[in-house]
Amino acid sequence: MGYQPANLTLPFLELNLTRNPFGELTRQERARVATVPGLTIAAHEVVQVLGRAGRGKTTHLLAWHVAHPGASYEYLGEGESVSVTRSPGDPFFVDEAQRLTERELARLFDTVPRLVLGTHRDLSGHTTRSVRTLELSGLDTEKLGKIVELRIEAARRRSGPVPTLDREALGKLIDEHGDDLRSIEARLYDAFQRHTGVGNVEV
Amino acid sequence: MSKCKLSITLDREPPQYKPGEMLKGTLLAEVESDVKIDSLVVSIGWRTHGKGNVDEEQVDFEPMGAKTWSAGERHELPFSFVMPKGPVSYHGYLLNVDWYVKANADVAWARDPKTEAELLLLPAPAERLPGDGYRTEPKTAAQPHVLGATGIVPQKHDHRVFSLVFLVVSVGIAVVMLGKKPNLFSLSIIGAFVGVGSFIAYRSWRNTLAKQKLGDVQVSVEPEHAGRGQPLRVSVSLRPLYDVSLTSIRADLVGRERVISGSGTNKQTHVHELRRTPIELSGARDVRAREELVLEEMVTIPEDAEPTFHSAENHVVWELELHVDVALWPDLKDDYEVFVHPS
Repeated sequence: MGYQPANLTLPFLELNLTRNPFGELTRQERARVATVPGLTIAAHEVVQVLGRAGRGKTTHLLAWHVAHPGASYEYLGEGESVSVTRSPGDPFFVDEAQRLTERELARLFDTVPRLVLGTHRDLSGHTTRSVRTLELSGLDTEKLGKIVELRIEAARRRSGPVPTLDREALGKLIDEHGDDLRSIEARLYDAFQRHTGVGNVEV
Repeated sequence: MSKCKLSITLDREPPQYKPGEMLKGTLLAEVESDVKIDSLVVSIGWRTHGKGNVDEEQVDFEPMGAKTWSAGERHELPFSFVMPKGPVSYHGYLLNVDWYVKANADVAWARDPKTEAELLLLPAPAERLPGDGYRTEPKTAAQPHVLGATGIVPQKHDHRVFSLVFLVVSVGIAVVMLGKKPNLFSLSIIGAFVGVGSFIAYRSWRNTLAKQKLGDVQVSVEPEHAGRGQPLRVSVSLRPLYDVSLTSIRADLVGRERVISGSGTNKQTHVHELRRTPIELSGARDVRAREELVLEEMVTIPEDAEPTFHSAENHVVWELELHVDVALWPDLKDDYEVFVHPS
């Protein structure tokens, strides 16, 4: 290895990519490559996206946020509270909503007409409003294949062949990581760093 | 849908440039429908990609002004930039640094057309210094480069106060809970907190304790800014306050990539060690109180060393890791950064 400037080419040229498809993405990029169903949310409806870490809650919220002009999105760090202003955005997306206190949740449910929550635990019991729950769990080779394909396409350099993952590789990833997309992403990052040329990627 | 299609062509293929060279290019605009552009700007900058969060910096820009174009028109707009001194393009394991020329058009009430083209910024060649006749040979000296984002200064964090507070709080909680006849689960939680607190406190205070015996340990690594293949002089001197037995004094020159991904509780630091060169400064020895011990060794930065890089969340760091192994006493361990320039 080592740094050899004389040998430097454009990044990932040999793979016909511009970067490692499983590197960290900006929020906008993550929203663009998301494979999530569309969100239709009625007036005064609450939707919660429920799932453990690494299952795609943030990806769902970011993708929907981009698709809804006028919406606003907030990510809650540990100990942070949500800043609900007079016009919080419609719909209002709150990520890591399980971090809110009872009082903050109550205020949110009372004041925001169309609300979408990303949460690790079921918050429907904290409101009398009707809550639609999308539970993120489980992963099959078809769904993972679609996610992988979109990530690779987003990193494509030009037309022509790009690296692929076959069904066996997808199955192996699910066997070893279950539905934890974040750890599958980390595994694929390493696989693509080792990979040369286009063709099937070994995991 | 965009009202015009933008593309950029650069004057070199492959697009490789060095600091100080002129990059020339053309922005091509193919107009699909009548468009009024409030502002058209071509800019040049770098961006990281890889395992860490994306850092980027715009280094220069050329405003092209407002434009009013009609459907079917084709416009070629030349631009040029003088290439800056860095950071150089870098393709590592966790981290890549790449350069881009971008064009952005601000169109009211429509999707803003934009485009970008990649390029490579290679290091400036080492400077050749003439020798002094027959006395000294000609030699090369690294050209200084920009080693990352503007204004980013690597910092060392002192965790001693935090670690003490954490330990005291952990012990306090343990005392309270033990008074309430805890069950096995609570005991293991208490144990874990006190254990972690003790470990953090020891790590944070270890050097302070080591210096109680060793006195002030002076370390210098010269030069602090060096080029690849350049020798470094490592000097360690100490004058212990008490008679002390040293098991060894050693150092390692270590290059690493260190990047941060995620945010909040999802924040993770990823580290990839690039290389490690051991330096043996001293084996076992006894040093008497107030006797000065001075050690010096040379180490060469590898010819193909990855250059130093610092941005908010992404780093290539070279450090001299010093370890003074004190018999029957906490050791001294500390790091000293060396800035490796790419030429």
